[in-house]
Amino acid sequence: MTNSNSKSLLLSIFKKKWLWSYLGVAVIFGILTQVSANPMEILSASMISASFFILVGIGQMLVITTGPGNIDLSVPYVISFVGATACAIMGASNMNLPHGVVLGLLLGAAIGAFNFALIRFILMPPMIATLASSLIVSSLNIYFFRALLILPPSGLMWWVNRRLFGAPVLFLLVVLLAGITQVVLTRTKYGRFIHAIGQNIKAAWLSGINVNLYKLISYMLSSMFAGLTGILLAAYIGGATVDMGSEYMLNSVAVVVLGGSSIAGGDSNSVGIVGASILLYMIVNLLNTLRLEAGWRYVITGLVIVAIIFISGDRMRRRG
Amino acid sequence: MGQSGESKLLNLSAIMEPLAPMIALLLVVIPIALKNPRAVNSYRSLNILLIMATPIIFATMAQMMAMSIGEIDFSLGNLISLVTCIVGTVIPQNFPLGMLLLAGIIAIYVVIGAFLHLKKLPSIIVTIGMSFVWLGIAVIIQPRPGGTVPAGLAALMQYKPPFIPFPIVIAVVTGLAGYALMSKTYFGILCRGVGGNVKSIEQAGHSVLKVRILVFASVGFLAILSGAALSGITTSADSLVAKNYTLLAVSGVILGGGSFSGGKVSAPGAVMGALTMHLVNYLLMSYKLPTDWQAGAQGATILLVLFLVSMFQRSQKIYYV
Repeated sequence: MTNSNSKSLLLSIFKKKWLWSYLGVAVIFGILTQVSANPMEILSASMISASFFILVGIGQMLVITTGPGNIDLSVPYVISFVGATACAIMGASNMNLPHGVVLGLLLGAAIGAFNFALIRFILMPPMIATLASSLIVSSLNIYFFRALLILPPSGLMWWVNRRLFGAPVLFLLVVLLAGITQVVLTRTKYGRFIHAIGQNIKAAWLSGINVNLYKLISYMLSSMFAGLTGILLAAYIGGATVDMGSEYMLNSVAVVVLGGSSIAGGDSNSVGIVGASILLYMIVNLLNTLRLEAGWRYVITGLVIVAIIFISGDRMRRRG
Repeated sequence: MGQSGESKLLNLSAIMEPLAPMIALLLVVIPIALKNPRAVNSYRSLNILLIMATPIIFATMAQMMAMSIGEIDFSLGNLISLVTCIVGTVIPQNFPLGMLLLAGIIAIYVVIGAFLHLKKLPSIIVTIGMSFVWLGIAVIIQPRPGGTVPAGLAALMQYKPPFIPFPIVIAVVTGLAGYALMSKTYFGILCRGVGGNVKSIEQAGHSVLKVRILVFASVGFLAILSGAALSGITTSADSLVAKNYTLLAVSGVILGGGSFSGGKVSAPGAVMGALTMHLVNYLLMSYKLPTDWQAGAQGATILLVLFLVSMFQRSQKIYYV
């Protein structure tokens, strides 16, 4: 009896969609221990870089959850624009840190609300709505902050690089946030409702869920997470630049799907995003250790994404 | 999405929809012509104005093929950049290898089409993965812009047919060929059928697998045309040159009246959409606006056109999207 119970427990763990990304991390770590003198150092470095992917990925996941076609392509420009604006407000002064962060997040929320307004009132497909608004945001960004490196306050720079017992503090906090998001997704009204909306929007609407409100919240949260990423990223790389967000568009979607959430929505988790984000950076760092050229790093990253989708494919089927 | 709004439209919107891409294009062309008549009144200036539109038109056609069956290709821009690297770097040194690589791209697209169908995977995430692969191969071939594009190709892109500038000839021929393919052939009808209702096509005894494979092969082929045209114009190989083309092409298809859910495409509309996206830049230039606003103007154009189209779709109350 106990045996069969533990067996079914084991089976149920293997059915978890987020597991694949962690298996990937374990495999890469195994290889690292063979080829690198200090694999723990590489793991730690991967964690801090992954923190930014996780943050953006959580926001992207909230949007993707709300159903087929919902995606936020504006994240790269929101990262750059909010990061630069917040840093400009803070003016490299620790005193202004709270103002910068709060105003940055409000700016993010406003962009998210604008995105959803386009979807709701102009009936634009989300991909095009977020693209069009991000083109405008990118122009604002270039206009205001062209060729500038806007320095963040020293306190923020010190804080994002801090470590606790060897582990990056930023990463620990981001993982905590991912855990909270997981609880929000599974145990709160908001989380259950966006899943319901993602699974069948008509049924959700007929059952009295304020569909538009919850979608609006998701789009606003996505831009706020992107904005927060922008502020922290600016502090991490030592200054906000115009194109610092550019690699986040495809990667933010990639970590969500590699983490086991359905791209068609209605079936999401944030635990997998952590594993998927670490995995993507571990691959890059492994290939760096092997001294492969940049080109091969891209090729192998892409092939790993396709391979994981292939292996776990039956679980992320689109509907219809 | 606009579930109830799309089924019953006012007659006005039935007229408006095919006209919208044309109106959008005119909204961009007329101000350019008013401000700077010399930009559009001679053969030579039209050629200069439109030459860079050719690769965008092919890219938009590629994206339109994918979108006709309800798929999307997020790797298109990186793939087109890769093609410029193959054409500008590999082909001059090793012609058979270059051709083999180009054939390999189509072969990979055939595999992707089959793979998406058999594993029932969403194209968006598979093509995101592939976009890293294309970028990587392009960087391996040509780490920084350079290369020597075959003289014949460069000369072809400089070709001056009598009376009508070459880019216009390409635009018209592509639009008409696309229209014939998608609206007048059995294959085109099957594509739109797959985009509209896969089950009905399956139950009618057609192989959806075959349609997907053919569509993806044609996406690869059109991407190669786009990359070849682009390298012929710029006469260089550059692994990042076309990275904006993915979304530029999606915008062109949507401006042209296509839809994301598939089944609804217009090749002439998509060509006009591509031209509109291309000409927005010249609009800014002719009014001496800073090029900082280039992307913003493209975004604003998309918003404006879709806003106008949506005005005519308001016949029914929409409760949620």
